[in-house]
Amino acid sequence: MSADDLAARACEEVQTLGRLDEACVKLLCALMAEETRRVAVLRPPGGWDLDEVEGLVSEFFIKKGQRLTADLVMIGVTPEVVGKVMRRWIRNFLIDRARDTPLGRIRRKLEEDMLGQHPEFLQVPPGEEGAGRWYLAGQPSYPYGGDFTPLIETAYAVPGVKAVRWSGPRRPPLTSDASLRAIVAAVLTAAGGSLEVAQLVHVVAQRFPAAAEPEDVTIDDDTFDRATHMGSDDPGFAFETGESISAVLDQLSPSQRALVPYLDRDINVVMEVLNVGRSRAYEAVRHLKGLLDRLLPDDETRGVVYAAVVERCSKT
Amino acid sequence: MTADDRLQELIGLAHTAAQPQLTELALRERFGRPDGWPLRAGAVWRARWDDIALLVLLVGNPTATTVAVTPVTFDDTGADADTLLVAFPSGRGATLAVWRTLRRDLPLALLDRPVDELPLAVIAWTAGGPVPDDARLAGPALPSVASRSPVRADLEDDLDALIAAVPALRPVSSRGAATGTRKRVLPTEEQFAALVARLGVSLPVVLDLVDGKREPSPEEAAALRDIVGITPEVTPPPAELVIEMYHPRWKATVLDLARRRDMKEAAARAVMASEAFALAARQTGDQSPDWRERLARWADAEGLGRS
Repeated sequence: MSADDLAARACEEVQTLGRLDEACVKLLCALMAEETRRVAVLRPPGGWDLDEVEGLVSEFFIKKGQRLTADLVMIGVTPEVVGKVMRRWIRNFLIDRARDTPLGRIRRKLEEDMLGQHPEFLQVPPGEEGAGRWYLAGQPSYPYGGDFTPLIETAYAVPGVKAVRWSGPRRPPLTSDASLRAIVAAVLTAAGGSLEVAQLVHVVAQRFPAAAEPEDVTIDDDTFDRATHMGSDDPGFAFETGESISAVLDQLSPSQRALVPYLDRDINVVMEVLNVGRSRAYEAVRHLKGLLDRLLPDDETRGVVYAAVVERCSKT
Repeated sequence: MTADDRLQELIGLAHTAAQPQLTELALRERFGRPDGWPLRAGAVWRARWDDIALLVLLVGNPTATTVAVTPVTFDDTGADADTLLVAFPSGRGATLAVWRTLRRDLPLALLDRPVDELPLAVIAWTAGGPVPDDARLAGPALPSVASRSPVRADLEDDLDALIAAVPALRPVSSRGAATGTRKRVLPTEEQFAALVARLGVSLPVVLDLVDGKREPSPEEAAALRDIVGITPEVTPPPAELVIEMYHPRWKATVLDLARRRDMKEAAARAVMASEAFALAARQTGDQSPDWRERLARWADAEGLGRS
């Protein structure tokens, strides 16, 4: 059945039955499959398949079904309106989900707490080159078109930046508002022009790599408790901890800290600790090792700091 | 679980969210005939034109052709302190988001049918009043730059498109329209006969066309060009008639006409106005006709639906 035929039947359903039925559900699944492709940050590691899409449709329906139904029954007067309204609901649902991703949260942090809140950050007005981008007061406003490496290095070079300690079980850490404000100002200065919000998000995500990590769904809370209990039996190494050790620890989620002591163990141990299959255990280890690689200092203290982090995590 | 099992599971979920009290039939029973419709502040209406439809809350009483509204939605994604969440009295468990910064003057011709009414305290909030007791703000106040609700953006687009879709009123009085001061076409008897034969219609219908009392169809325009040589300038229907047709009581009739003749709403309105005008001109020389009554008579003669 063509999309137009499906929409026509869906329109008939909502108008006569006052609810969604088979045609509406099929249309919903088809539109969900289309719209998920637009939201790259939600893409599962193995890509979208039918199960994943239908899972999203279920979640969508549980959260929004009643209001979507009311909306379609009230205003779904033509097949075109039904298709458009349904697509908008799905798109908004996916936008909400994307905002809950780490990159989405960084973007919201920048938009809601930084840009537009402080007078030194100015937006290029409509009609001008780079309209909608952000630049620093006193700096040129034309679009920055250079490499991001110097901007990221500038972000790292801002002194006195401290990572904020993990404040909840699922929220990634970033930094204080004052530090972030200083970083954004420094980055815009280095750019010498205007940046899109997405470009700023990229730079900030590189500066705080743990904040840009996806939610740690490999380890649930029960597993975390079990893993930390097992870890407490392991002997630790006593090392003096310094700023860099704290900086690494602060940026690890509780469940990531629980996994640290097992990173060099046999994969079967990791599978047992996490209570997951082999591929997910490998994935969790690979993921955490990559993160630590970016967080650990790149100097002669690297090994010492790593050992201290392992020791601390073993005692958590 | 098979694919069909999963589909059935989703359909089961859909059934639990049914809103049968909101169907067209249920609304018709609830609000009755157009004379009793709440065309006043506090009423929630469906506004529509072609393939755009949305709900609006009337925040003022209507003028002859417009009414001040603010849109309402069931989706509140990204809404902030400029949006109020209120219970939707007829919706099972559904809340409505009232977007007060999107207030607009809508042409009455957009209003389709009433769907509910909200307390006047909500109207007061849209004008800067306090948050009503049984309502709440949709979110915190955000700097304007952060106000990125996709729902708000879609609403702005839809409102602009709706307002632009309604043809502008042409200010022609009944007297000016009826006196026929426009340039007329004067066919010969042979040309009249040829037109009647080619179009397969009666002489009065051809007279209306020749006198420019209604818009010719493409086929009629071609016949006029071929046989008479020109297409007569069409006399616009009087403003009073067009204004009467702005009233929501005629929306169902216009949409029925559009559906039957497979045309867009703007074209259906033009046809309805010109045909009702032509019929009225044939029936009486009254300079101030009761256009509501004339429209009803024409709609009944055409067998068109009424609200």
